[in-house]
Amino acid sequence: MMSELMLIVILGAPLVMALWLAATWLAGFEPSERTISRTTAVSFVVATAATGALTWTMHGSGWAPVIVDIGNWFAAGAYSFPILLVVDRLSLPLLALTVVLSGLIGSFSSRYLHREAGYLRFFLLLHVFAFGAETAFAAGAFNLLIVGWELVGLSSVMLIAFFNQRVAPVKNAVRAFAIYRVTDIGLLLGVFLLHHAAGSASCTLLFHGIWPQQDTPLGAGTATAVAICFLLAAAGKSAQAPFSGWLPRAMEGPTPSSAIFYGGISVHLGVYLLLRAAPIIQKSPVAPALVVFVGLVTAILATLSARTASDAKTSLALATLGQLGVIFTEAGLGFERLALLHLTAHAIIRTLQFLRAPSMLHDHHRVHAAAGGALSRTGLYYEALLPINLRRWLYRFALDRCHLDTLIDRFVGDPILRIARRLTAMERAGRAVSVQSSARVLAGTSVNEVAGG
Amino acid sequence: MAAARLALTTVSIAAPVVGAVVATGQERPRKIGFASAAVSLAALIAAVWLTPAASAVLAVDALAAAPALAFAALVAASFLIAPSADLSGANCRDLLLCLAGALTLYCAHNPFLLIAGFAVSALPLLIPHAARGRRAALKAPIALGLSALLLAAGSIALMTATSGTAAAFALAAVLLAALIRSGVFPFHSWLFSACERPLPFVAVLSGQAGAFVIARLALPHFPQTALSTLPYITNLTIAGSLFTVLVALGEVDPKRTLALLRASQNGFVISGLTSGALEGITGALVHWIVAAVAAGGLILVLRCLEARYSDLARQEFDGLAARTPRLAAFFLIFSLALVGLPGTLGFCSAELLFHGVLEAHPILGLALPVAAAINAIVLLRLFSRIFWGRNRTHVPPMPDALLRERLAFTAMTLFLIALGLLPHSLITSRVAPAEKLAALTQPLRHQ
Repeated sequence: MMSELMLIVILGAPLVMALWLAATWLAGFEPSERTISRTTAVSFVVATAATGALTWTMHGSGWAPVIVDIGNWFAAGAYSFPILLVVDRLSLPLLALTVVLSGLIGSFSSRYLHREAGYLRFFLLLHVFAFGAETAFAAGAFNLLIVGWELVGLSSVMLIAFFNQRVAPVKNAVRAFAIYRVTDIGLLLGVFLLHHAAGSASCTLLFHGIWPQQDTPLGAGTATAVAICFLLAAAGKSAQAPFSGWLPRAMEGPTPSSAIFYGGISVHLGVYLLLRAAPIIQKSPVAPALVVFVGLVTAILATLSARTASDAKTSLALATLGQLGVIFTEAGLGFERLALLHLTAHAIIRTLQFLRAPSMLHDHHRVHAAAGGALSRTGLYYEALLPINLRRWLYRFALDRCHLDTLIDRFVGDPILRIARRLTAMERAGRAVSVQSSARVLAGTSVNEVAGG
Repeated sequence: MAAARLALTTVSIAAPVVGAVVATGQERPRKIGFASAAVSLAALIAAVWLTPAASAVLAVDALAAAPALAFAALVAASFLIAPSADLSGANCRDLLLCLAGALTLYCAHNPFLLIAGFAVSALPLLIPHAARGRRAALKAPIALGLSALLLAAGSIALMTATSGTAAAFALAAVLLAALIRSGVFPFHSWLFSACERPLPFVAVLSGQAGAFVIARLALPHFPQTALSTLPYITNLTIAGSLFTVLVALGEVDPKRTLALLRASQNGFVISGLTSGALEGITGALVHWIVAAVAAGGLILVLRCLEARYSDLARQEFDGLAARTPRLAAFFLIFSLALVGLPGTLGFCSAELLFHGVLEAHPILGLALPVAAAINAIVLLRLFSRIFWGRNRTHVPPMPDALLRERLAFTAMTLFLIALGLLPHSLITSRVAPAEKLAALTQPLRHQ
């Protein structure tokens, strides 16, 4: 009973904060910065204490999973949407990580965003994010995981466009949102397939045993289909190839949000999905190889791209991508515990690096000056061993982020937009599109230009 | 008790008619319009409270209760929100007659009353509007007039049909009327011209009647021999949803974009209704309320902005969030509800609807989540074009949401979020009528 109560407190604290901030603002009031930061601190202290108590209780019971079945959220016919929460060896570290890192980000941001126009908006989105991530990690059914997954995606997009008076963040936010929505189709279809095949998307029915020694009664065919759908969703959320382009673009948001989203929690949600669905993935004859392939390709491409990154946050974003690729590989190879350990350590270190990024350059200059200007030596990279033509090609390749965005635009985005514009032209003209308008449409702008309008 | 029910239902229809008569010729009829709609809503709530009876000529049964209440509440809200320029005496009269017609349609258990309600609820759109060229002005009256005539012809033929073939033709006429009225592909172009009128809100709500006619008239009278055609309707509406949302992707005009998204959402609803799966039908019955409230909210926010800023969407980015942050927030919430974000009622309805349609049509059904994803992208892009991208100093001064607007928008937002968090009672209330509709198409599922 104690564990159930703690879990509800952990999830409830950010939800109550988010609803309170939204309702207050919509009613025409705007709490002061001090009120917002103090209530945020209280909510995260309460949630952290509850996480500590939950951990202690679980430790006392030999790490037995805590299962809270609140009943069906809604149901019709054979379909039901259970509110089933499960905290086990996989979700507990991530739940704790989310609560602690979100609290630290809240504390850091109360100073970092002082007198910023979107102060309340940032904290509102931080609480929405915390609630979404905690829901996703504690979800005992894949349907419920979608709820947290989507809320994390939405808050991520809104924070990329935090400085919405500039065009670049807005366009990048729309692009990230488009990638999220398209790849989230994989999660929806995966859940549908689970319902169709097993009659439920609940982990307690789909998996036998305790994580990571779990098995599933699903057949190999169903497992392959579900695993591929989940891999699509995970690749989108964790910015794996070929969807890696949005992550460096997401650096337009304020640094604290970059830290918690793209260093700490949000980008690791894809890995979490793979780890949670590990029995399904390992049951498939091809899915593990696909996961390893996606991870390795991402790790290599991100490492290459990072060599040409010219600013601190982009370098960190690409370094994150490289590590995520390695974690994907570990998950695909069946090293779930290693992947979880790697994920946790990476989230902590990367969050710290992102938070240090704004002052890093200043520190570097200070140390550089103190050392008499002899710190940075350039031109001594391994690339220097390569032939000059190959080096140039690699440079251009890496500078364009391995052409991933270009390829998506050219083969997916732009053709769809061309079709859309042609259909719109037909609608407007009320007749079949003329040769001239076709030519105009074909000569239209690229997906980048359209992303923002 | 039966007399009280009938009296309350009649009051709910008569109140807007009386309001329409009083409002005609008035210069500022906002209060009269709101009062009439509020009385109508109150009478309707009381009628629903007194356990609906389907046997009477006019009665709010389980199928009609939720959409009728939503319609009346939305019209009342629109009287609070609509800019004064939109609420002339004539427009106010038309809107109230539209409400009376819609309630007659929802409450009618007699085909003639149903036809009358169907026609009157489109009244504001049946009168040619000369604002945008002759051809465009006639599109909506012709399409909606044709759909009313088809419904009348089909209903009368259905009552008098002696052979299966005659019944099938009659049914085809009814279905065609419903599809035209819903504005689903390929009958969506009237929505554009309708949205250019002073009350685009009516155009957005008008499509509800098409889906309702399918549920009330078409499915119960579907001859067994014609059941095999039902999947074609589902397929047409799924493909139509994808088509219209692709057109929306290339569109830059905000009103046309919203009209296309509304057509796409109507396609979702009809595909769910005709899917034959209980989950799909229940989802559709909930989603038509969500789509009405969310799309109605979106078009009302847009009209509020147009009234404040005549250059809306003339350039790539307007940056209006700097001046109207609350209108921006309402627009965002309605958008997210329409595309099924968790925490809003749209998520629950979309979950059920997609699940049912995918169960019934596993291949073409895949187009539905794709269309939903594009819906979401189009809406966020539209939001970013209107509200983001410019500095406060570059946006002309304008007021944010006024108190009356804020009250109405907040009520709509609360409806979407509160029922999104606690959807059980609403969805359970939709299961009973959905079971009846599913039972009608059971033979199809066993084929």
